[in-house]
Amino acid sequence: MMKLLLKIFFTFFLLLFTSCGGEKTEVQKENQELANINSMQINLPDSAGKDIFEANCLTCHSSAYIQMQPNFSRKTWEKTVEKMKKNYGAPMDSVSAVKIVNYLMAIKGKK
Amino acid sequence: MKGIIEKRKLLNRTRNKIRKIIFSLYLLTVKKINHLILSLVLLSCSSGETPDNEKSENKDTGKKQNLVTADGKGAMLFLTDRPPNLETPLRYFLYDYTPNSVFFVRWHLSELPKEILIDTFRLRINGNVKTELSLSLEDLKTKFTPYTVTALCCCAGNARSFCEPNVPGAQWKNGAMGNAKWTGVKLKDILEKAGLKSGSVCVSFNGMDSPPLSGTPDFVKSLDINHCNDGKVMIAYEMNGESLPMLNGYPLKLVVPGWYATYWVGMLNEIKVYTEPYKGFWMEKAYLIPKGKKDANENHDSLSKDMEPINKIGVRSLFVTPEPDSILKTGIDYEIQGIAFDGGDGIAKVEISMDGGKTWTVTKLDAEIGKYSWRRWRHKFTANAKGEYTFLVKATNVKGETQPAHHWNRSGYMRNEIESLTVKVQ
Repeated sequence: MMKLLLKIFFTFFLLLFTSCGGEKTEVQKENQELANINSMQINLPDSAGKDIFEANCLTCHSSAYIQMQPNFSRKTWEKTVEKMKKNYGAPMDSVSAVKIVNYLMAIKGKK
Repeated sequence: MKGIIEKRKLLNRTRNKIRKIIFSLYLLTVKKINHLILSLVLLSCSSGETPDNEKSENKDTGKKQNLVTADGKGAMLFLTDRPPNLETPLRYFLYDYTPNSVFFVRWHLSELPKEILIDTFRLRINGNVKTELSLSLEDLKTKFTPYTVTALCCCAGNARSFCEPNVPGAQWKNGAMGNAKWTGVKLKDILEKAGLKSGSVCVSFNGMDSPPLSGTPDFVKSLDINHCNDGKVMIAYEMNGESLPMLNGYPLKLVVPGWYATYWVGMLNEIKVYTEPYKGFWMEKAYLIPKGKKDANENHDSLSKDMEPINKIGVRSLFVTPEPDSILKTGIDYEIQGIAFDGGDGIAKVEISMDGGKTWTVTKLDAEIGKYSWRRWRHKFTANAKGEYTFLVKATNVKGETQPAHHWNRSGYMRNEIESLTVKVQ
């Protein structure tokens, strides 16, 4: 009877241990299914000026910065692009800046 | 002989029965324990819902909420990948201490070191000091008295996405904050070791993150000298008893209890003492709030002209469970639960309203964890009738400061509008 009890306890802990391991693998699996931010592809909608947006803006930040924004008015987008130029030193000329604002209005503009 | 065989058979049968009973008991126990582990893993122990419900709910919301992962991090809400900005899912606020693996991530500049060689890492202290210092992590751990504080780290722009009208910026929900136990060295001890020269007025803090363009100002913050010497501001090498995750500022983070997270410079490697106020973009142009306006509230038709750097955390409370759009049942006792905090004066009361703010009922507060920690509040709720229920929650601190019915400013900083929660009872 003692042997039996010992066996039971042994298998009990063995199973407990393996089941804990099982939970971890499940969590790891869940994480594996999620995209890692180091290898993400964010595709913004196509519209005129997308290439200029990409050439001028993506040096410092990814497209996710636009993707997460709600729709804004032209005035707000103009201010934002101006801020990038003036405060953060984005090296874009004024023609490109207008094209970028137009692109942002096309994909995230508030009419 | 026959009798003995019969007895043995009987004995064997009884043994088998006992074995079966023990085996089923043991299976049951394993199941129970597995269940317990599962519920712990899913953090559902205090939500009042069954773990299975929670699990399926999480799977659904996981897709809806746009969960991602990052090096050294668990599943978090995605804002941006480069520079990385990740938000803590609300359910983790059921814990008093936010787990490091899901603690919110916020960086301004995309040139972030991928790894830090700890043997060669040094924290430099220079400027208006008698002795310039160059401290290794080991120096900080062995040559100074360790200090631990529990403090809420709350992003200035937390909850920005709820601002009406919307404002540009990182579109955080409520998860750009976390409560942790920070261990490290008091800043005043380090400044004392370096020896402040006379005329010192402020100190700047720079981390190892840098801008990809030369025209972008490096992220540097500063604090007044008296604030630095108050014995509360510290440099943490541990959060919740472990090294900081890379994305939370490993190996060192400035901890400014009661102040917004913009001052909590991560990957801190340079401290500089000045004889005149520090003038830098991130102090003079960014992170500014309307000066002298309660809760930094302003009207979008007449923006304030006088601005000042953001500072102390404002009074705020929020709901943690049930989550928005939850479906509850009649006749069941639920616990509405949330957290409240301020800049370190202390939460005096948290009230809940079920009639749009006409009448308020005081909720039950958990014991205070620390002056700079958030504090949990709980309120029992049982619905007798089906329908939609809307709750409001409002905190008041010991100074009598409370939350506004409407809150807005151009940058979406310090949002502390009285929060509402709507649930359906079916």
